[in-house]
Amino acid sequence: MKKILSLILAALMCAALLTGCGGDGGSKDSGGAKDSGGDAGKEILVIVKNSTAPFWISVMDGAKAAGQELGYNVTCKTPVDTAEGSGNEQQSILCEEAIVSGVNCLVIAPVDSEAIIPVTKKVNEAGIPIVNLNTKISDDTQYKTFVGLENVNQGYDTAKALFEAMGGSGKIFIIEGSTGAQTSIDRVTGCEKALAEYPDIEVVAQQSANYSRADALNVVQNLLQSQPDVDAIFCCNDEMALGSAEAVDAAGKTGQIMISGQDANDDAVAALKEGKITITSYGNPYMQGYTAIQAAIDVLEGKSVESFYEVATKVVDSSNADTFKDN
Amino acid sequence: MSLKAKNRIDLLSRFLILLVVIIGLAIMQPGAFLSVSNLSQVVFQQTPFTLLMAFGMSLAIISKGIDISMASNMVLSSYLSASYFQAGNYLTGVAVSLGVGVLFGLLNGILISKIKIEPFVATFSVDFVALGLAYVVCDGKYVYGFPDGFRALTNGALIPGLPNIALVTILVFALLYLLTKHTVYGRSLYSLGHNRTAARLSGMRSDEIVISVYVINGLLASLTGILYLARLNAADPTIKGSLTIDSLASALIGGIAFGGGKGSVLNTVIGALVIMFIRNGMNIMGVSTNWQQAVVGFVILFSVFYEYALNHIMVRFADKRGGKSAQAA
Repeated sequence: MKKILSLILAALMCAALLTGCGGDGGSKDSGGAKDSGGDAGKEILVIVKNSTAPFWISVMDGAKAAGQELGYNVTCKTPVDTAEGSGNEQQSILCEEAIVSGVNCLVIAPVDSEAIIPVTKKVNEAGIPIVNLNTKISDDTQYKTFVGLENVNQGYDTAKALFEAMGGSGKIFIIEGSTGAQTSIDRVTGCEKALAEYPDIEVVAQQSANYSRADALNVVQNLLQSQPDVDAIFCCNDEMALGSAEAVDAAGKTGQIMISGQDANDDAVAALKEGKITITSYGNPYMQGYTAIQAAIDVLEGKSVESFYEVATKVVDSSNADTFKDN
Repeated sequence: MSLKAKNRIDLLSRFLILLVVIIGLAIMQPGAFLSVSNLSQVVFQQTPFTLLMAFGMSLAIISKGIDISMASNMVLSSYLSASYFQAGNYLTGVAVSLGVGVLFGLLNGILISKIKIEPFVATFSVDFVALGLAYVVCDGKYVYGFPDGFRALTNGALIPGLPNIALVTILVFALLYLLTKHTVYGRSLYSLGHNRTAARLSGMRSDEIVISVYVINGLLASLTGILYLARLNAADPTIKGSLTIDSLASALIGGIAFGGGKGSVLNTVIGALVIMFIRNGMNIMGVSTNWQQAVVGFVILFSVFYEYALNHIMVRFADKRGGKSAQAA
């Protein structure tokens, strides 16, 4: 009995150890389309921000599908840790590993647009072309082309739709994503652009809720204490919009306070149909992943590429909640 | 000076810290902060989550250990049980959730007591395992939308004015307080934290006690997970957030000494309230999140320093009294 127990424990410890190592290496192979015959096709490595958010899973699905259809080996890797600082650190390690293993092209969506530059320089020096996906690297000499939506435009479109729904005047909260995250900065910039066109909209509070539903619930509950007469809440992603919706619901104000999210995740669309949130926007993550691989292949085959492939976003409200994914 | 009196003074002074925080915020934001709805929201709706986890952290620290894995255990158990709750199979849901919680608690306990792995290292590894498995199970599909009956766990109030979640937390607190302060088990727990070797030599079943602590933590984690499902109306792997850090901070600020064998769950309550009030106050005042992190850090530093200073003063005080009584004799 004791022997069996110790065997089981030893096995569990090994599992723990392995996971620990994964953390050190900062890599998590999400099982891409990489299989036999590494010599036959060219290798494209896709590094995204995490493997847990529906958005990024959809991006990876799109990339893998493109790889399969167009006959290239596409591997997707993500940091294990989703926090800003360590996420960047782990992405840097993944890039260094890519240099060593000799991939033919790197597609990357950096967690941090600035801090990734030292390692992208190394990748370029190793002669590996970079396709920048979703979030711009601050230095545009680092990549051949950028594929994605303009987060600034997405923030602008969403904010504008929200302000229109409000009738052009009222008080709003801005709920930012993780402090320092480029997507959050861009979306807030877009919102501010829209604010300039609507002078009667007043921002009464601006706080971060770390892109997290639980954090947003607390933050919005707290803010509602000092600003109970707010008219709308602009959130930098759907998770926080859903957390805000629960806070508004707990205050018994569902329907009185409009909420906008971004990304059009499934549960956000469900909440939108229930009337808990008002607006979200669809960044078409699948097409982002797919287009990035197309661009990478163009780069590898020496075709001329444009500097920016924009994947269009769509504002989603109750009128097109069922149809927005059709093109 | 007796140990008991010393602990009382320590607890009282921690309570004073809480009062200072509340008064400070009340002066800066009299309207919004001091309103009944705000205070009850912080105490009854926001604090319970951090507090339940902090109870577990405190028990582990009292036994001279630490439990890094609770938040991930919570994520995994809530994820695995979410679909049952959603379908209205509450009994199965509770069984799955508590089962997962106990299993990982048991694993922690055995790693620490039988295999003699340092508590930090053991629970740190288990944390990775639990969170990793949760991500595997989740695979980006969030479970959203629970029945109203289930959501009443947090929204409803069996006792008018007291949300159910607060009621649950109070019951857990009472249970843990009785268990640690008024039973043989509790006394063993403290002496184990105070001096493990002496405890073992005196014939205490120290391994079993250590295992039981981490199993209790597993139970607390899965309970918190169930409550989170009800509060957020979703199973979401990001709920782990800063719970590990916050629960550790609650224990330290409340005065659970890191050396073990000291402090009670009452200290934890004070610590958790201090953190939640600071967060709430800073939200209301519109302080940026970066600062919130730093401020909580400063408060932890302060409380650790305070712990040290208090000990120092008390030792000197005891010396003087001891000296005098020796002279008198």
